[in-house]
Amino acid sequence: VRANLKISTWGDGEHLLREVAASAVKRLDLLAPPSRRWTLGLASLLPALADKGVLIRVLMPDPDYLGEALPYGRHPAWFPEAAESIDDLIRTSVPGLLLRLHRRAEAPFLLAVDDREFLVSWPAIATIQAPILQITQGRATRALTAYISNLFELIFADSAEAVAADDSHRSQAAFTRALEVLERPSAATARRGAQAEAAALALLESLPGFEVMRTSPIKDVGFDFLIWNAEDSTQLRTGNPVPVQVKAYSRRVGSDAIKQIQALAKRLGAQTTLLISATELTRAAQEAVSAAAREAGVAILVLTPAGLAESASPQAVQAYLSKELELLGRRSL
Amino acid sequence: VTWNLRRHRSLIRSCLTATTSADKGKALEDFLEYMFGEFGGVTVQHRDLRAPAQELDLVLYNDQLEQFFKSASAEIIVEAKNWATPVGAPEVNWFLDKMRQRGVTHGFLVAANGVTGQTLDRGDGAIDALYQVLQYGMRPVVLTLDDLSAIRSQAELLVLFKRRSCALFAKRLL
Repeated sequence: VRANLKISTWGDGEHLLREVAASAVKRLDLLAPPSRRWTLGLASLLPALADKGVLIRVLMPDPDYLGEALPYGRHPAWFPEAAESIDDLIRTSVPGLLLRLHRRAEAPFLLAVDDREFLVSWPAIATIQAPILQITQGRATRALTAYISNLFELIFADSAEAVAADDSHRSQAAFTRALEVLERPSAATARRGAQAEAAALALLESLPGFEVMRTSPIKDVGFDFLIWNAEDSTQLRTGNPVPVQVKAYSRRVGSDAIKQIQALAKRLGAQTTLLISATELTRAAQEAVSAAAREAGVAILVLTPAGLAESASPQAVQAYLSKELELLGRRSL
Repeated sequence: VTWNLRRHRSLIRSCLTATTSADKGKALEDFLEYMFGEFGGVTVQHRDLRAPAQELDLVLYNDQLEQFFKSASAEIIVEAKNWATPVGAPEVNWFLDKMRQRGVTHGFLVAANGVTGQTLDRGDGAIDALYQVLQYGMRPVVLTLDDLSAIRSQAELLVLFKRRSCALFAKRLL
């Protein structure tokens, strides 16, 4: 297992991965540092290596730590298949093992593998990082290889499935919390809006393929968020970007609000907009949604508590939106 | 994919170090031909295409494979302006006219020093012209050499394209 160990934090990783792709190496263990360049290198090249049958294992800091260290560490835009984090990227594209370093205040890193945990102190990490920067020197590579192998015991059973289950659970929990807020908003008017917006944001971020691109600046032109739908050419054809408006009224949403959204969408040439509302729509508003599709060619997708109640997961919400879009398309014919 | 950061940077350097107008224009077109041509599913169909009443720096054919390009039109035009000053409203309007005339919804205006008229300074500049065409479903993307110098991978390029596209919805360039 320890054969062919290669470790690097130097450069953007492309050089190393290309070298592996061109060689007969079939097993690769990487220590991935919290660097944006590396993240991007992984995103673009690991799937190709996996296709070539290279078994890849990645030892990397916890994504939360990545998020602190690099602003886009958790940004789905970096990754194919709209993965929520680099964990997802590696899990979905590489049939290998993911080892993670967790950060703790008292013991900065905790290496967790299966049910075993190893405390790692800062000096140890510092010792690792120093020679890694000299990866181009053969002697440093050999020394580091020996050091890492002894310290982290890179021989473990495959824990990819456990990691997947854990992440899926976290994503589902965030989704459920968002739904609870949207379905039962605060009674205090002042807090309703902010709460609903935060919940809508969490909901949007949980949807596969949806990437929240802008928040506050778009308020100037009448929308709360702008999202990019990476699945635009497949089941949910929305055009991009998609403006989103969040309504946290205590009463039902009326037709005026729908007509206002339609006007804003026309001004931006948006094919599709998304309305997330904490209350249902009046009958007139529902008719206005149909009329917007039929007469103006603007698809206003609506997510209300009733629609969300039918959706038990982010995937189900996406399926619901696809169905709604299809229905609006039929009405516009 | 053969995109290479060194090549990307070397071509940008050429844009910055060219001295004559002709060399500056050629250097930027060389760079853009490389940058766009390296995306999967994007082919540079024409360079310096002389169509009736207009000249197009680059015409791309888009197979709609990569993230940003999935939503973009099958034909994309690219205008290169390696100018020492920001590009003004007349040139931007001319670029938008070219998009209209060819019926393309997506186009890139790569202006070395950006375009005039930020909404924040209430200027009646190019930004207004760009914002106005959104209503027709057009999605112009403005890039500067500074933007492109900061890029380190193709994935970052795609994110940049998406960000610029979204910024215009908020009547901003950045």
